[in-house]
Amino acid sequence: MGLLKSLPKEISDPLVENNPIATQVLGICSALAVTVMLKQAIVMSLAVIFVTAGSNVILSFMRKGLPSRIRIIVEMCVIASLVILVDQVLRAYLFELSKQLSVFVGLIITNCIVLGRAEAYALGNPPLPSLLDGIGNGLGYTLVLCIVAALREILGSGKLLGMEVIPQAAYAMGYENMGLMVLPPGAFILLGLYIWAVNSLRGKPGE
Amino acid sequence: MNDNLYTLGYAAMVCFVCSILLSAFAMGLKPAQEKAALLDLNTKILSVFSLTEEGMSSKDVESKFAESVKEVVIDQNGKVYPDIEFGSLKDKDKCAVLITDRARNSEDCKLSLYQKVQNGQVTAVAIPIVGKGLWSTLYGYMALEKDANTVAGITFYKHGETPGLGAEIEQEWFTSNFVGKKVLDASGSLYGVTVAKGKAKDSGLPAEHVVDGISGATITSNGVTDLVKDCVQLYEPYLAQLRKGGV
Repeated sequence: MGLLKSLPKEISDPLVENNPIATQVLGICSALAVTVMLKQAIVMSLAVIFVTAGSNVILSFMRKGLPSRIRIIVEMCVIASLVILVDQVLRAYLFELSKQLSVFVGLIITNCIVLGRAEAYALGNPPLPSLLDGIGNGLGYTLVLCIVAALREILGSGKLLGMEVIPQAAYAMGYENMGLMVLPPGAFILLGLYIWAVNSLRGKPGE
Repeated sequence: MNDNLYTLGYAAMVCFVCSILLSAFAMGLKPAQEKAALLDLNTKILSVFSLTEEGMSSKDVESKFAESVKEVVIDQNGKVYPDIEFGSLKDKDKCAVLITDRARNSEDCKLSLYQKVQNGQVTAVAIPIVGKGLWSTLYGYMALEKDANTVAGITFYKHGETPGLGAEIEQEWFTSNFVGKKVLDASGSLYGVTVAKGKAKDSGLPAEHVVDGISGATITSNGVTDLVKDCVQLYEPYLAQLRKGGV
């Protein structure tokens, strides 16, 4: 915890205390969809960190002149542009992964974490704290995604980042991969257990 | 009033800046994207010819492709055009479009295919297969052995079907069932390969012409049945020559 304390509050807070997935239960859709394998989850997380941080900074710069009647539309416009940018880059340099992530890169636009942070934080704070807040929330998302994805990949396919981690001897003794973990319900169950574990360890939020 | 003008102007500026930035990026990244898509396609061609190995790098794919795959341009009568550059063919993957437009522009309608060449001999050919699924057009390749009858492999590289249902067409459990099936019936006329509704063995069709269907994806399955037949039909003049050993 000492390390966490030394970080700026904007980054440390969303990692554990106010984690966007575990506490606010935002961004669940993509968290369920792209956690079959750790590699996909990492790329997806990087994309989300980039988009939350980028949109937070841009919108924070724009916050003074932004007419409040159209602010949601402008926010979506900025976020959508950043997401398309990420999608194009993935298609150029990580074609195989971008095919596996398919629609979920595009769906970052609708990830509540991104719009939520823009609305709740970036519009009321200067660019630098907004940047940190964006990175922090992206990292909070990453943390949960990677934990769930690592567990799903190990339990579901016996691998981690594509490398075998369950020894062949275990299979010889009758161990079998858990097919459920590869399917969407596996993500539901793991994510539910994770949220339960975190919240019960920490006590109810606000208590 | 001023307020409205400001809002409109602000919105217009945001749109302008976003669109300029995005177009610039899209233009800049296009060559890299096309290269990646071509590499992916060539990998698929190698896999449909069973030439892929575990952990091939992009260099390996390129050299293997150059070594054992030949790109060929033909017309609907099966005539080969060695002078036309393969890369210059437009829409070479859209054979379904060509079927409907056949009467109209039969003159300048060119088709593409890939030959698997081993020791100077053509051992298999891969033809593009295109057709409608449920939500989207399915794009793929089907490889036939040199008897132009036995399916050597099938692959789909682009589609927009439902993940978990129609999108299963790209999974190995589905595509591997096609291997060894025949597209001609006993009398030598075109039959195609039917994707059964349910299990292949319950369909009552001859075993060499039917594969297991995908539950929950009947329309996609029917689409695959149709497009396999349509596209083989389109290449039939060329395939007939191949059967006679004339290529």
